[in-house]
Amino acid sequence: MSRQEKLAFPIERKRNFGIKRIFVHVIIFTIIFLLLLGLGLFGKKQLNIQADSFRRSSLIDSLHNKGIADIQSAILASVGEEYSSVIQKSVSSTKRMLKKDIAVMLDEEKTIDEIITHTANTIYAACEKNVPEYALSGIDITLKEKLPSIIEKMQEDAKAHIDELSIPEVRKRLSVNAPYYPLMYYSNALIAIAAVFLVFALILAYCWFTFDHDRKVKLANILEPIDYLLPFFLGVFVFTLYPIVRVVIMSFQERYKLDGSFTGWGIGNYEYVLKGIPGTSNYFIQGLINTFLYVIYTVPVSTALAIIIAFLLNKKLKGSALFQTAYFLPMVTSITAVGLVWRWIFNKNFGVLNAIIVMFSGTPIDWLSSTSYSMSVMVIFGIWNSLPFTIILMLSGLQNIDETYYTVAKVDGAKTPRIFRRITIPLLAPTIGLVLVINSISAFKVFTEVTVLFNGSPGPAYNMYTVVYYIYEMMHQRLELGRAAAAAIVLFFFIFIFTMLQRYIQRKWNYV
Amino acid sequence: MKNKNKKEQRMLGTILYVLGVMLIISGSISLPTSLARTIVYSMLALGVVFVAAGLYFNHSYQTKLGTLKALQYFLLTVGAVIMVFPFYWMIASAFKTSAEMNFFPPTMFPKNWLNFDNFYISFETAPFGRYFMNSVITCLSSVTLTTFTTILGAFAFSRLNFPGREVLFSLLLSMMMVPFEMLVITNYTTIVKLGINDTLYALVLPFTSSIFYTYILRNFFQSIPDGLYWSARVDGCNNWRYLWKVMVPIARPSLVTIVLLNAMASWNSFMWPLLVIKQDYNRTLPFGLYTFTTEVGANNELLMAASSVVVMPMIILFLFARKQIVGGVARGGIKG
Repeated sequence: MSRQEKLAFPIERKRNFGIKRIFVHVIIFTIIFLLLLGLGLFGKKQLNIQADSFRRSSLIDSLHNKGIADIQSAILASVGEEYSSVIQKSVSSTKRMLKKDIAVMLDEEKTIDEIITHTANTIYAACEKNVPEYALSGIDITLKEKLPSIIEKMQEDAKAHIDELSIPEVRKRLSVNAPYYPLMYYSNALIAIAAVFLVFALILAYCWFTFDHDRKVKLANILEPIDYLLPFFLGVFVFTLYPIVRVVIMSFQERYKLDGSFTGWGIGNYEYVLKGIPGTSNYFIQGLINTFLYVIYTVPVSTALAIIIAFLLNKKLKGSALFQTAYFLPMVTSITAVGLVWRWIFNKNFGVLNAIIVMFSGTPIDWLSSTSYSMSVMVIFGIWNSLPFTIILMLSGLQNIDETYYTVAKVDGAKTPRIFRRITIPLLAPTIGLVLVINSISAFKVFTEVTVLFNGSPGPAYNMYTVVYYIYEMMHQRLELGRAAAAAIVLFFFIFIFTMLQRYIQRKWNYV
Repeated sequence: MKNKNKKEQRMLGTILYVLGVMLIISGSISLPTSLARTIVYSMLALGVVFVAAGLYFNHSYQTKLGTLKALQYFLLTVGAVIMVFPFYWMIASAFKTSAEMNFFPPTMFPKNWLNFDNFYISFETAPFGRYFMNSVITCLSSVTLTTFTTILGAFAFSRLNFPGREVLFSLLLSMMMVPFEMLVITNYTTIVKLGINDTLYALVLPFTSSIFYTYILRNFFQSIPDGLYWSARVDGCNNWRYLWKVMVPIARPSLVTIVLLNAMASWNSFMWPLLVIKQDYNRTLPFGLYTFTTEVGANNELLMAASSVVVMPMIILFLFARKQIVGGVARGGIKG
């Protein structure tokens, strides 16, 4: 097609592509439908296999334990007490072998009748060796008498077992580590989603074959933004929106565990988190206090330092690029690695910090294992770590200030400290407020610092819990997801306050 | 008479000033030595007094400006040294032998700058090569996926018209204030239920779509004039081609920022791998480094060598792309 032709009918070409979108959707939806259906059916099949194996193992257990126990009690009833220990011994000697026998016989699809008879015979044979003959005849008679009733009982028992282990029950009992667990667990959901896709595909196919051209274009225009947003929203739904809703629900499910079990609905999680176990120290409140202290110590100091440094950096001295590189370096590096370096700096015996203290004729401090210095360690590291980010925000705030203010001030003969106090600080006020709030929010989430500095424990004597560390511990070590969720909601409450403050500042000064 | 007096005063001021500066310099040099503390401190204090007196007698503009400049440089240098020192100390310690590590006061420089033993030993003790590969794989796939979904999402939110677009977007923005620490609990259960915990998928999947990056990119896309779009449409360009041939090339600076921020976040992430990864060979660098601390115990020189390996890629990235990273943080920090 020549270039002229291309330009002659641009709209038509575009429209044609737009319509094709519907057809492509029909095909893709059908493929997704088939794929999901296949996965769902496969999961169902696996679930059935799993259910059979569950049933088999529980049947073996019941036949083995209850069957032998019944037979044993029948035998014991028929003979005198003097033989009871001998009989028990001989029964227990056959027990392990019988379990194998039962499993093999079940595989050969023998009936329960046969299995129990075999068990009784084996036990009788075992007793034969140890019990004198006159007692044996008694055993023989009682066994023959009682065997039918035992068999009947066992058959009823087996039936009950199979009924009890319905598919939903099996689904609940699945272990998370089983192969194809998600496919088995979500088999019904997968099939349902597949059905939805099929419905969509059918509707679109119907539209494709019956609609006229204009309506097809309209439909394609509706479909287009959905296509663009789909990959984005898939992630947002599963990993942002659903978790927000779920964590709120979870916080009201008392003692919610990873396997989905919980003891009941209510505010028990919150009570536990806020009150703790009476008589023991409440680590959540301790964490809350520590977090607040950390915020109060770290944020103002780092903001004040950042203002000075940003002011100096903004003067465009020579080598300012070099200085910027130096100041911003901690921002890009992993807190874990840098935290280890600081641990080495804080080292009691060979650390640099103690060397400097000794140089100024002080006494070395046991930074990391003395409880009275834990907070100082955290604050020093926290300030060092949060400084680059704060400086960057301050710098961008400074660069937003109009140059003419400075020029006018200089013409009027104002000096640097005066300019700093009378122009820079007032015009920087919104930025400062914002930085304080943003830094507080991020300081509220302090976690990695604690973990790394104190080598995986919250402080040398469990004295440096923070809110997020508490959440982590509840979730990962104690597996109490419900309580962790409650703690997370409390954390969110505080962060929410600060976020509202941030919004207020942004709106008031029309910032950004 | 008056003039002569002033000249003498100036001379006196200059002499005092020079003396003061010399005193300060010699005082700070003798700080690390074993000279009596009182002498050193009094030298410094006297130096400051002399400089002040010199400035009082000789208050010419040049001297003052020079002093101010020197003071500014001094402050900046002190700060910069404090900021960089841990990195220097990490690298210096990585080259020390274990005997050198146990000196007190510690030596500033390792005896042999080419002593790579610590690196060899730590790579033998723990599979850092494997950790490195895991980090690289996670980082690359996370960045690729996130950038892809972000570009598509930002395009739909800035260029395509559909009912409820603004409402939907403001809803997304309000979701942004929920901290990741709150989502982590449910995401953990989701990952476990999907059966992908303890795999690298678990490190990538939860971070495939980011509201924050979409927000940044949407703002940039919106600043691209409409005329460009309509002229492209008239030339027969459909939305898909317009996005990839016109918008993405124009938005390259923003995209670079997003990619850099994302790569940094992925490379340095610690809490999430700590939760979902168990087996040794699935660990990423920061997590592997963290578990390495329990293996080496008191051998800090090995730890420092390993830390250098973790930190180096990001430092190199930063040296090459400082402007983009700083710009991105400045732009994004306010909202984040």
